[in-house]
Amino acid sequence: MLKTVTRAPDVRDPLAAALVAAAAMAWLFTGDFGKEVLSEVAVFAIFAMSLDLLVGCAGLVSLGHAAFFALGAYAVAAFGVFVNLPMWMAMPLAVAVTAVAAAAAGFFAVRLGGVFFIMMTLAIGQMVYAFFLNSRAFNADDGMAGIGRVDFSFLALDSGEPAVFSAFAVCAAVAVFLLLRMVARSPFGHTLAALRRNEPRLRSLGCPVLRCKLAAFTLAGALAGFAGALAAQHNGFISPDLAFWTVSGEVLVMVIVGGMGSLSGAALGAALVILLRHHLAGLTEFWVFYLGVLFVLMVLFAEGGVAGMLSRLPRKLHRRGGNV
Amino acid sequence: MVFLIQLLNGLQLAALLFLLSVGLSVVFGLMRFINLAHGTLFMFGAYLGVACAAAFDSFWAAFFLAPLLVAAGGAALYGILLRHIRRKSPMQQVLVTFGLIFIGFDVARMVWGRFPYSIAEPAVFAGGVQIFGQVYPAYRLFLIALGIAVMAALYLGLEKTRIGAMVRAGVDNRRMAAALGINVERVFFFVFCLGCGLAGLAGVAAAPVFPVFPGMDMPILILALIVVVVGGPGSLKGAMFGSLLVGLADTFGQVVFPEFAAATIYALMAAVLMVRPTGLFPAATVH
Amino acid sequence: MFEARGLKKSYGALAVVRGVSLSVAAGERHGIIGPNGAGKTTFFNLLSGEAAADAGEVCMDGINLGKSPPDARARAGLGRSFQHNSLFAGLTVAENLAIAIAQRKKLYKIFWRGFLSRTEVFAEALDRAHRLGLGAQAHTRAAHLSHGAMRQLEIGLTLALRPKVLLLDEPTSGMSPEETAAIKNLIRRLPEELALLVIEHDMDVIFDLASHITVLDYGEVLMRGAPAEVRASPAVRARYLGMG
Ligand SMILES: Nc1ncnc2c1ncn2[C@@H]1O[C@H](COP(=O)(O)OP(=O)(O)OP(=O)(O)O)[C@@H](O)[C@H]1O
Ligand SMILES: [Mg+2]
Repeated sequence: MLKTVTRAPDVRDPLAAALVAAAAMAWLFTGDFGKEVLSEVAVFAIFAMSLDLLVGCAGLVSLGHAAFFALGAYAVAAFGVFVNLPMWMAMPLAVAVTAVAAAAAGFFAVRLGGVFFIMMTLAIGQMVYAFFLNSRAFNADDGMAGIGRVDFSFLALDSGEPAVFSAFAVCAAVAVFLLLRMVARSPFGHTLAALRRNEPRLRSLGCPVLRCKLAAFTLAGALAGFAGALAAQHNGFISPDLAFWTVSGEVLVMVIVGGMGSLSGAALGAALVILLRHHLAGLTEFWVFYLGVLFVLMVLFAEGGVAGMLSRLPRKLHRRGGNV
Repeated sequence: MVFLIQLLNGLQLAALLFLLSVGLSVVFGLMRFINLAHGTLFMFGAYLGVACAAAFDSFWAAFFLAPLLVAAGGAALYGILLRHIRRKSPMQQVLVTFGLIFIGFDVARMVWGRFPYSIAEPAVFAGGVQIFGQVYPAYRLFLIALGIAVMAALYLGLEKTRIGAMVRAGVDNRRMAAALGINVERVFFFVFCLGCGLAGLAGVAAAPVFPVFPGMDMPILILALIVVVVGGPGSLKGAMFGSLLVGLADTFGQVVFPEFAAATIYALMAAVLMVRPTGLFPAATVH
Repeated sequence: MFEARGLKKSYGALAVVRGVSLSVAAGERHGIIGPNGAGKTTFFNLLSGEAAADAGEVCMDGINLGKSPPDARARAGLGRSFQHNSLFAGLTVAENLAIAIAQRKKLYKIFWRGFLSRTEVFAEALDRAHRLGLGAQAHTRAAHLSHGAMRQLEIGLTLALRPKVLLLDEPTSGMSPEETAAIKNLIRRLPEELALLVIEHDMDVIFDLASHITVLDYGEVLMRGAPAEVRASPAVRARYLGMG
């Protein structure tokens, strides 16, 4: 990301444009099932992009990001079902609750270095999972059903329709992408990238690194909460499984497989993993196995993920073309 | 009396946690390498124990064979994969072992299915023992004794043997140890395999007490990680005190605040880390 | 204006810094010399907060810095460079400097506007690159610089903070005579009122630049005085100059 400083800023993001175009095509040309998948992809794209801010930008690997996804989902359910607030109000409140929780958890996590941070996030994720698993108010491991969706009746639209909700989810994903891109390109975002490269030096240059990491952790948590709030509406159902470690793992797989640090790579990863899961789930019961193998291979051999491969593709083609 | 029984339960969990966390901790102290698949090895210890117990119709065959098999598996894992990622960043190392958790989870499902197994405890420890007027399962006392025995053996091994001295030197200052002609990489391999074997031992020892199923590794891995963080990585003492603290806190937490059982542990960890960010007894200076 | 009192630090059984006191006035150029392993770098770490002292205190402008972390000390005007280059290796020279300048201007608080639109930051970064003698390499990645150029950038990052107190740890180590001369010039052109503490093994540099010299040995002050006194001291000659 920082590569472009002082050179012409790269305002084009062909991958992001291609993803939006693909989403539009999917929305236009698929049936209800396709649009359900599209909603799911959009929700997980938001979730993955929020994690990419931590992993790809600031270099903070979290193995417990699903904690905030689940918190957002539970909070929106609590405000929607218990307090009976309309979703337009429940959603921002859920995001605010998640932000506060992320700030509190981050307060402990960000002062730990390297591997300790990773372990702390894993523990945070399991703690939230255990909390919802034991909470009677939320029906423990049975979860809760009957969560409504945002109301578009003022536009004479029914958000129960897959077409309406998927369009809403895609717009939300684009908005989150633009927000995170703005953050990544700001001085704050560049400071996070410098932190990833050399934290001790950045600190000795006067950067309050703990506060910066906490801010990133809170923002990422809040946006994961937003994704969770959307997921709860999309499924109409929540359960402690939302916070399970496999969810944290899966979203990290999305970021790594798609290519971290570019946001659009994370969104691509979300699309790839979800489409792959829908296809593999029909073929094999052991989808997690293949996910694990893919993950290990990507970590070992493809640091830039699929987005990295794609970005190298034009150059390769060009070189080959030049030789002919 | 309930208190004493809970104390014994806590000690029993602490013994298992010690077996699991000591390898994790010393390997981290030696190589700054954390193997998140350590819990997976624990699970395979339990499953291999189930398989051996069935094959030889003997708990003790499982008890001795399963750790060896897991140690061999650890050696293979090291040779095939982990050796080649030593030069990668710590983040990549952690991520690779995280991916192994996924793979191990589904391999267990493929081979053994999703339904829980268990091993019958050996006949010697099948009954109960009268303690303070209460009947307490003898096998659980055996687990406590096992933990203490392994701890004593490791203590002697670390303090009194040549390889123990090498390990201590390596934890203390890796570069210095290498400069003194110690083959740190080989010491690491030895410790790694020993750690894997102990994880396998913990798995098979737990099999009569805990259900053996795919995913049994995660809760205990989390507890073991907390032990390492709380105790301070790299030291036997840290693993010991960390296990005791976490084992007792978890057990009593479930009695005293059943609704927030999980939270007691995390509160403990958070409190320790606030006061001592590198744990109670860090042997390795963390940079 | 900058003062350390009775600083002590041990690593395990090894007492590395054993009660060192030192005060530097504004405008003073203070050299620190001593054999390898004397504890010079550790002393700097205690001053800058990179390592926590076992005993003693550090004061700046009469304010005790206590246990404040390195970033707080840097914001208070204490800048340091490292003996072993600590750069943002994947970034260019100009980007490295821009990051340092952004920290000085506390731009990390801004998350809604593009960094690239802060043209004043990049103008200053390029200007600083030129003044460091790195103008031609402004768009070269730090990882691809020669050793000498890396050392220059290492110092340049710290200078970009416009510190009131500057700690330089062996600024000329491993440099060619020309590069050393360039660094000497750079140090001479530092603002008048700046307090400078510099660790150096190159005696020509230190006797040339410093107005005061402290000799550290086994974590203690062996001697302190004007360059001429230090040069004449038999103890220093025996322990140090004779060796070098
Ligand atoms: N973090 C540490 N842990 C253990 N020992 C350390 C640590 N830092 C420094 N030391 C030891 O402290 C002693 C002094 O080191 P220091 O780097 O301060 O010396 P120095 O005077 O800067 O030497 P040089 O001229 O070689 O740079 C050395 O013996 C070193 O091994
Ligand atoms: Mg030094």
